[in-house]
This record gives sequence, structure tokens and C-alpha cells, in this order.
Amino acid sequence: MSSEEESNIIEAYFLGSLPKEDVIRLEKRMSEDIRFRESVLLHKQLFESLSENDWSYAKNVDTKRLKEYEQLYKDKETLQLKETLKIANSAYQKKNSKNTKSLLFYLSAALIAIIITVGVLLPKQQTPQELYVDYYTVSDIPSLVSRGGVEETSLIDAERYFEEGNFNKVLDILTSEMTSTIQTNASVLLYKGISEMELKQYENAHTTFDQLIESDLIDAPMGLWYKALLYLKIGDKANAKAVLLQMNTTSSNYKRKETKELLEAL
Amino acid sequence: MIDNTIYLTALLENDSKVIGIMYAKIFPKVAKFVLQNRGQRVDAEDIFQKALLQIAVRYRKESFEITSSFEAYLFTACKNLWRRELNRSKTRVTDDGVMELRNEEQDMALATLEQERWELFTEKLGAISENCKKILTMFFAKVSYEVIVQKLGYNSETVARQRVFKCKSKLIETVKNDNRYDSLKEL
Repeated sequence: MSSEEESNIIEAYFLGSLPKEDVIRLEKRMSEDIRFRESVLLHKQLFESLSENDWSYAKNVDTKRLKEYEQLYKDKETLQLKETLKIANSAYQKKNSKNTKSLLFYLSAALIAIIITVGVLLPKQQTPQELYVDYYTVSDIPSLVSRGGVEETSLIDAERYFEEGNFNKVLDILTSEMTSTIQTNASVLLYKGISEMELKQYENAHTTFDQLIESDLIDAPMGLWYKALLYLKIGDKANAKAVLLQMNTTSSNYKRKETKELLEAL
Repeated sequence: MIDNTIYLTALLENDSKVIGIMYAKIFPKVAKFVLQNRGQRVDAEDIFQKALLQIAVRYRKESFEITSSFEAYLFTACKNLWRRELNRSKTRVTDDGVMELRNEEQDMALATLEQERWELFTEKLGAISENCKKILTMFFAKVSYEVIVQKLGYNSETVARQRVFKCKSKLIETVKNDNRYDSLKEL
């Protein structure tokens, strides 16, 4: 049997299209032929791992490595971290207990504000990069896929890649496959600029955020906010401050509280 | 990336201030995902904690570099833990019908190896040609050859099957050649 024929049989086995008698033959061969068994098991793991709706469970793996991990989970340091996480979780959930969307937003901002305020009061002043870490979040940027139309599939892919941190793929989609109309959409510009920032393509990110800022779009102030974060990331305090001051002069309320806090911190 | 190091160090050093920031910044997104996928808020809390522990334990065992942002990495770890939970009913009962009993640490150790295995496969899939990646993504999602031919413009199912075979062989070869595979494979 050629390796291609063998591969086709294993494939049919996992796709459920192998006749019953061939299934019995395959399973018998698995118990006798170690190489064949390994090939079937690897196919199984690939099918389970690389399908979104499935999961590849570890059942019979290297015991040594498993025991090492088990021991690490039992260690004092891990138990201490577990306790800290429990406390952090209950503090966070308590602050969000009302569970309404707007309250969630304000409480999250308040928690960040408290943490930042404590940080600012400490003798050591935060560096621009630390401020960037504190304030950088993409959890409140609008989704790319609120519209219908032919680009929707690509936009779903782009958003998924963005969530997975695969920023090169995001840029591939957003720069080459979109129509010019979609390319000037505020969300697209945001995802593009942030991806460029993550990939350290700072000049490109700068241009993209400027494109958003100079547009008439309602979300234009978001461009200013991410441009300020870009400057923080590269350690350029003066320009970050200038952009934040510019934000303060606009009529938009977007990140007004955070802008004020950052200006104080700088 | 500077932000990744800050987060990873915070987990090693039990830094409650930075951990608080992680909750404020990343938990809402995880909660949204779990709620949209048949879960409750309490499930999101559980997997968020487990994912942070998993990252901390892995980093303590052997420091590694996160090539994406920490937020994206943590979100993916949470997503996978939730996939694991949703599919768990398939493995709860063994072949002889007896419920498998595992302690928490044992289960988390298994979940960690599973995550490492997923990362290995995903990394290798990402490293082969774009054309192979497209066809294999559809193949492993059990998309029919008829649809693959239609979507990717192959001349016939035979051509698509040959392509899948070649691409799959390449993927398997690169997986097997990686040092991590031996300690992650099913025996």
C-alpha cells in the first residue's frame, strides 16, 4: 500500500466514510503496527486540534512531563498565585456586581484609575512604556463585522486574526482585499493602525491614525487616543502629551477621563 | 515586547497591582466570549484564572517568548480552555463506562500539555505555504472535497486530494521534526 493510499484510509476513518470491515482491519493493524498506530493517532490529534469545534485531549502522554507540571501546580508559589488571583477576581467582580453595561464600563475605568493613581503616588514615576501598558486595551474598540456585504467574510477573518494576535494576517486582509470605501471605515483604520503598532511599524501606524484623525468620521477621536498610545510605546513623552492636549480641546468625550489621568501622569 | 515581560513577571512575582490591571483590561473580553458560547460568567472567571495559572506555570518551568500581544495570548489560552470544557463530555466517560476521576492539578497538567500541543500544530500550520494552510484548514475542519474544490478553484476532487496529501505530509514532517513533539504526542 502506498503512503497516499494509507493516508486516504486514515482520512476516511476520521471522516466516518470507511466501511465497517475496513474499520475493523484498521483498528487491528493499529494494535500490531506501531508506526501505523502513531500515524493514525497524529491524524486524530491534528483533526481535533485544528478544528474550532473540537479539542485534542491528552490521554496517554509522556508521564515524566505530566508529573513535572502536576508538581508545579502543587508548588507553594502556584498556590500563592492562585490565592492572589482569587482575591483579584472577587475584587473585580464585586466592583462589577451591578452587571449593567454602562456600570461595567465606569467601574472598569474606576478600577484602572485607582490603580493608576496609586501608581502615580508611589515614589517611582511610571515610564511612558509602563503607562502604555496600563492604558492600552482593545476591548472597547468597535467590531469590524457589523455590516453585511461581500467583504464580510474577510472582515470576520481579520477580526479573528486580530484577536489571535496574528497582525500580519490582519494587515494582509485590510490592505489588499478591501475596497477603497471599506478601507476608509473607522474600524478598519483602527484595526490597521493598532496592528501596525503591534508589529512595530510605527511610521505606518502614525500615518493610519492620522488618516482616521483627519477624517470626518464620528470615531476620529479614537485615532488621537491610539496615536498618543503609539508615542507612549516608543517612549516619546513630549509628543504623547501634545496629542493628549489636542484631545482635551476636542468636543468628544472619548477617553476624557483617561486623557486627564495620562496628562497628570506625564 | 515590553508589555509581555511586565505581565509575565507580574505572574511570577505575584504582583496583585498588575494582576488587577489584567482583570480590568482582559477579563471583559473573555467573559463576552464565554457568554456568547454557552457559558456563564462564573465559567469565564474559572477559565480566566486557570489560563493565568497555566501561563505562570509554563513560564516558571521554561521561560518562553510570546510573539503576539499578551492580551491576545491570554485570550487564546482562555478560548482553548473553554473549547476543552465544552468538549469535555466526550472524554468524561471511559470505554468501560466508568467516570474518570482526576485531581485538579492532574487535570491542569493535562490541559497545559494539550495547549502546548495546540501551539505546536498551529505554529507549524502557520509556517507552511499559504496555499497549503488554506486547504489544510478546510480539510481539518472536515469541509467536504466538493466545497474545497469550489472555494479554492481546483480542477477536480482528485487534484484537491493530491494537494491535501502533499500538504499534510509536509505538515506532519515538520511537526515530527520538532523536538517538542515527542513529549506531547499520544502514545
